[in-house]
Amino acid sequence: MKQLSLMIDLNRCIGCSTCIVACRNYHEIIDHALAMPNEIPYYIRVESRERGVFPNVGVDTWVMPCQHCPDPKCLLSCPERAISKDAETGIVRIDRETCNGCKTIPETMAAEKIKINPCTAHCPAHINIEGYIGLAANGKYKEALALIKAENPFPSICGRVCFHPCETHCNRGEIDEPVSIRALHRFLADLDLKAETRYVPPVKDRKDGKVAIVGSGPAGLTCAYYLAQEGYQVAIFEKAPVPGGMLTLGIPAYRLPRDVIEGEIQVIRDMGVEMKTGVDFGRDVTVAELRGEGYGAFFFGVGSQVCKKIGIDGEDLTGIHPAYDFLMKVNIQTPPSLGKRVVVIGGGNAAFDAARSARRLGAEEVIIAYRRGMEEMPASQAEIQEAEAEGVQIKTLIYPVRFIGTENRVRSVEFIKMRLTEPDESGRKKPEPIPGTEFTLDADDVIVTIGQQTDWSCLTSDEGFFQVDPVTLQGRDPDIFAGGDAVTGPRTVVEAIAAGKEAAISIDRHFRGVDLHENRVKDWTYTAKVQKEKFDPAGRAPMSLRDPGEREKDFNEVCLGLTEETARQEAARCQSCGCACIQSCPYGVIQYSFQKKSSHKCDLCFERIHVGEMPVCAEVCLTDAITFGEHELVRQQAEDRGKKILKNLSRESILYVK
Amino acid sequence: MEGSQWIPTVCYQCKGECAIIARVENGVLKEVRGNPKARGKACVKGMAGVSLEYSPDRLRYPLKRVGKRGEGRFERISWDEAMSIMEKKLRDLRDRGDAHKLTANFFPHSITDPKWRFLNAYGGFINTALPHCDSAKIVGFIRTMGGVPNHHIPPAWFTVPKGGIMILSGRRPFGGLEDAAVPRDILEARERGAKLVVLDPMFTPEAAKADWWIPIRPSGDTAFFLGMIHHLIMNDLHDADFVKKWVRDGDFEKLKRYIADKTPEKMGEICDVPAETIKKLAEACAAAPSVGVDSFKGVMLGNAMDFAHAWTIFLCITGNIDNPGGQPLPDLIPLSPVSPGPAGPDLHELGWHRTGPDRDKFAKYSFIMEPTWYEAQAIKNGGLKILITAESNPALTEMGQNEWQKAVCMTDEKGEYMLELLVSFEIMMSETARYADLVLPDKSYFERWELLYMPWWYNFGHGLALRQPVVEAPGECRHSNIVMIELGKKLFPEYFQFEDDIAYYDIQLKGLGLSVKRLQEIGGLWSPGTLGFRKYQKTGGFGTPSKKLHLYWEDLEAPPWNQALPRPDLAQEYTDNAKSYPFFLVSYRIIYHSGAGQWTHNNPQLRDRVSGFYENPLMINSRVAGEMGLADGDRVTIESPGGSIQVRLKLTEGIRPDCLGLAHGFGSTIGRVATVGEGVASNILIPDSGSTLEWQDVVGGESHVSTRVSIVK
Repeated sequence: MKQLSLMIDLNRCIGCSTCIVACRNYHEIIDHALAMPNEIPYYIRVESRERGVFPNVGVDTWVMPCQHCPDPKCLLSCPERAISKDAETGIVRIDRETCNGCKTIPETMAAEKIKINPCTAHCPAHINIEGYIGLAANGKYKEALALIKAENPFPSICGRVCFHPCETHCNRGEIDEPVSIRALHRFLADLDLKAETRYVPPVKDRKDGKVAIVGSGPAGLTCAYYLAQEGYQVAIFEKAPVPGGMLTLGIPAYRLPRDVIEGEIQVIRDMGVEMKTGVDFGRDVTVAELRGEGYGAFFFGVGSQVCKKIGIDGEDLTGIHPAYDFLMKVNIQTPPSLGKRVVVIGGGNAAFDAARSARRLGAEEVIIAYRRGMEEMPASQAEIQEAEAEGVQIKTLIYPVRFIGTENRVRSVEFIKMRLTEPDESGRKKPEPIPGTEFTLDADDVIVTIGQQTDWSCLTSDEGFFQVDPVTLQGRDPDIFAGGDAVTGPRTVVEAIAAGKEAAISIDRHFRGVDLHENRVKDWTYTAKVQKEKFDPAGRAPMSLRDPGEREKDFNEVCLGLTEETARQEAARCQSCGCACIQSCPYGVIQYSFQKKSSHKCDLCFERIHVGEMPVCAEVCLTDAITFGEHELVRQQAEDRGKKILKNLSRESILYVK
Repeated sequence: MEGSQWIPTVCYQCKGECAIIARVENGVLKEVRGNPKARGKACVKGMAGVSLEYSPDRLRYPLKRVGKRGEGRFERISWDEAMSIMEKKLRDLRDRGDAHKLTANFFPHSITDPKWRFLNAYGGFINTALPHCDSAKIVGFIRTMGGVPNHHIPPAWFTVPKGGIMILSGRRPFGGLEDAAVPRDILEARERGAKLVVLDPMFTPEAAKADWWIPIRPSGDTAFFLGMIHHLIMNDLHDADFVKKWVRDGDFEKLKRYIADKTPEKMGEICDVPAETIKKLAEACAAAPSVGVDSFKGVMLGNAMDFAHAWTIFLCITGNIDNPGGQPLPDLIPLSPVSPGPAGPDLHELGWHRTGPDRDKFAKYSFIMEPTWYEAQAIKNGGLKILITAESNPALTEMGQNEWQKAVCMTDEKGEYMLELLVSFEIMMSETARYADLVLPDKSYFERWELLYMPWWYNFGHGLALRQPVVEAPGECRHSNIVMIELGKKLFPEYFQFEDDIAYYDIQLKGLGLSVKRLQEIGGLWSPGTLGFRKYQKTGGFGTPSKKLHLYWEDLEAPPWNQALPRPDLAQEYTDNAKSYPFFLVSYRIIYHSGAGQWTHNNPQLRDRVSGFYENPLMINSRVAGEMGLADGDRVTIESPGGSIQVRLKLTEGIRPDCLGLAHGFGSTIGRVATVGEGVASNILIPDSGSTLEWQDVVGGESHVSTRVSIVK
């Protein structure tokens, strides 16, 4: 395919916006009599960067039109197939007749409609949720999954265990209930679990860089997934005998079946990533050695597994299990035999995983002891409800004072009652003991789930959390990167995925020798307007669960997911706050036309160029900074004239030179 | 496209007045481009002219004030009534023998402007409506070289040879007010191997493309150029042959004596530039095949006459006059006179009536128009009785704008307004119109005829351009020129013996074998040839009395002027009150807005954050802000001896630590678009010109438009 393109010369662009206004006038995307500032659609915008310190400063400005990507995400995301890449010119076009503005049009100004949806804005991996739901509603499941996999390598996993902030912020919740986004996610991903038909993203031509990834949790695996796609050689070093990190070691199989994890990790193996398990990094192999072997970048996604101690008497007694050790034994080794009565200390998801696992291991009475109230409990509502259905008891506003044992084995726990005072810096009400309210609970075993820390013995010089740049995740050594729980402390799977993805972007830039920081921070201002009138209330499609009496006996999956019928019914509940293509565009260049009720964007003046004229922007450019032509020829011409191609900016079909 | 047509005309979004073509489809204006026959560029303001044309705020009918001045209450009247009110007041003033107490405040597009003819016939004044303009530059060039070299127009950058030097001194040509082709021409000259040097306290868009940015202290450029002149002369680096041949005898010797102690070291201290930098640029200029300097009133507007003088001396001693890449001189083409023609006003004679107690200060005033900034004071002195404004907004553009607003509302002991009639021709309601007795709906530049005779025109050095209607005007709009011709016919028919504006232009074009129709047929543009270099060699000299270049201005030798040669000191507006007000205010222009008219500020595309400039934060050096405990986005109050405003901060590395930058022209209070955002008017901070007369340039007519300021949290 020939690719037509614009070359923008930063030696000449003065950021004057002449092209923007001329473009609007030509394409008639402005109503001159009604237009108000900051609400006018545009196909091009000016971007700039400043550098240096007075008096040694510099400013570059350039224009950002549609990049006419080789593999346009907007095209992938359109449920109506209204977007195409013209075979003759490589121009990405939106067919105005087919595009229906993603059906549901809240009666807001275009300025609102072009914003990001709250679901995508709040998803740490920023998945185009509206896009895949729209595709699913039209029965385009494969396309929907490919769209998810553009941002997240673990749809089946996230479809089960994600803490789904997307649902929390879903605008549909203003009408009745949020869309069951996670269940839809899982439904789509589960269709792909069969090994023979599984979607494996295309891998680009092999590049020179070698990357070592330490830790095979979601952060490390994600980093590997994106770097492998770019063509880098990636090896993962894992301490445990199996890959997966917390996914495998920390989350019980009744929530996340092992074959689901294995299936999604296999995709990464299929992309050519080498997995070395049972390697104690720092002891068996070191950074220095691997540098010698030609590894050009390292990513540490080693997680956070060292359990914190409460710091009270009796904590070393037999029968007291740190949560991570307990869950790891349950998940990949021999589960410990438990007594009849188990007390779990803590209120997070780990506490519930431990409690529900304890039930499955035969404990008759399992009590969760939490120092604040039910409202403050960090575990998800579903988790709490499912645990209670399985007979787990929850006692709130109590805190252990000491463990009491005989013969070096725990027999009971002394608690003190708590009350809540003013909120602390986390916004939750702060608990404080009520003097004189001590009491004891008998316990055969105690599982302590009050948080974890990172073991940095894989590196030799650092202590505590690894210090990295919060945006690029680069450490003090330019070839060392780190992310996930290892850096942030215990968080969620999807946040680890987000970190792995960012690290992959940084490592790719590190190899290409371009600025790591540039254009990394995106504006996630999201649309907050909900049009309630247009939607009849309709609750979520039900998700079937196995019977509590049956499920508490084994580690088989509790949740059974949606059927195709319920999935499509649920997908139809999405309000399409924005347009799917707009959510998908990494450059934010697609606009919504309130007049025409469809999305629109730069098409390099398709009509004009077919009669031999230049795109308007190139024609009117005040400084002749814009050249139009066939991409390869334009690039060649730039090189011949000694122009430096700005790789940071020229990631797609538009060429930026200086 | 069906029913679509490109019509050549002339833009008027700013005073640059670029030749454009406008696409009209079925009577509707759709698009604008630069005219390919005239270097082919139009800027963002030009493109956004379509939004101006179709603004819902366009005035459609004549309005008469019904409340007090400034209240903004009006009633619709007929044109007949409006005409008779004006005619009566004008007759009355003239019959009283006070014709000189009329001022018309508008931009004289061209000497062909019939409004100008009306004023000359009446015996009133014209002023430029542009207090920030370049009168000192024009006076300076006339004094030294005997000709108006250019107006808003820079050196012909498209003629700069390889190795030539382009100096922008406090000038922002990427920001408009010059031909829209200028940015491209500068950048192309650079690509050919010319060097761009920017003197500015702020890191401007031009500085971003420059080979050399010199962050000079505001008002320091006279010292900077004197430092260069010293270095050139003392090291025999000047163009001795050129000086010998073309500089008036004795002037160079006087200069040499004067300059002896103006060492780069001493001058560097004044302008806060290292002596080495001054020497280095001087040496580079001496070695370069050409040096062109573009400026208005220098770096931040202080002592503009001294700067214009130093600038012209620099060009003279380096031989950069009318050469490729240097300073072009115009080649005037005569238009046919429209006889009988009224004589122009004698400014000295008439002006003295106007200036009341200040008359002696204006003894050496030498610009051809009266200083706009004296308007408020003239009303207070009883010297201004009728004010007609057209396409201008002094209520917002006047330094010490509050004082202007107060003056037009002042009443005498009988309770009558001191200013007896205030008329505003505008296309949309403005701050000035709000005070007016009559608000008259003008035609936009897409709706009217105008012959523009431009000896300073950038494209060809000289020429004619035709502004012609491309669309119908809304409502009862009438072009102010037509209105003034009609009034002229009533008041002094002998001077208005032609039917209308087209007939008037036809007479003027006759001598060139042209007519409006013919000009229209040949594409709306005419020029007799190309630019032409070193025309003084053919004509035997310059337009000065001696035909030589005058470096020494002997009429300004005596006290209190002491200005026969340029004075290096910083302008007084920057040195007075320095202790209480530690910062220099840098008021600067941006490409999106021209002055403080409603035209660009009420244009949605020019205010949109994507395609325009929404509001004007106060630019402050990041380090200084840090030291003061101020953060990006903080709201602060800035105070000056003239007033105070509240403004949000924007931290930048691109400004001197002793300066605060504020984009000029904001603070509109009228218009659906103009009033959005947090824009503030920098003019509130500038002390009223009439009450700070000792600061003003009363030779060149320039007023000082800056001040020192302080930040109050």
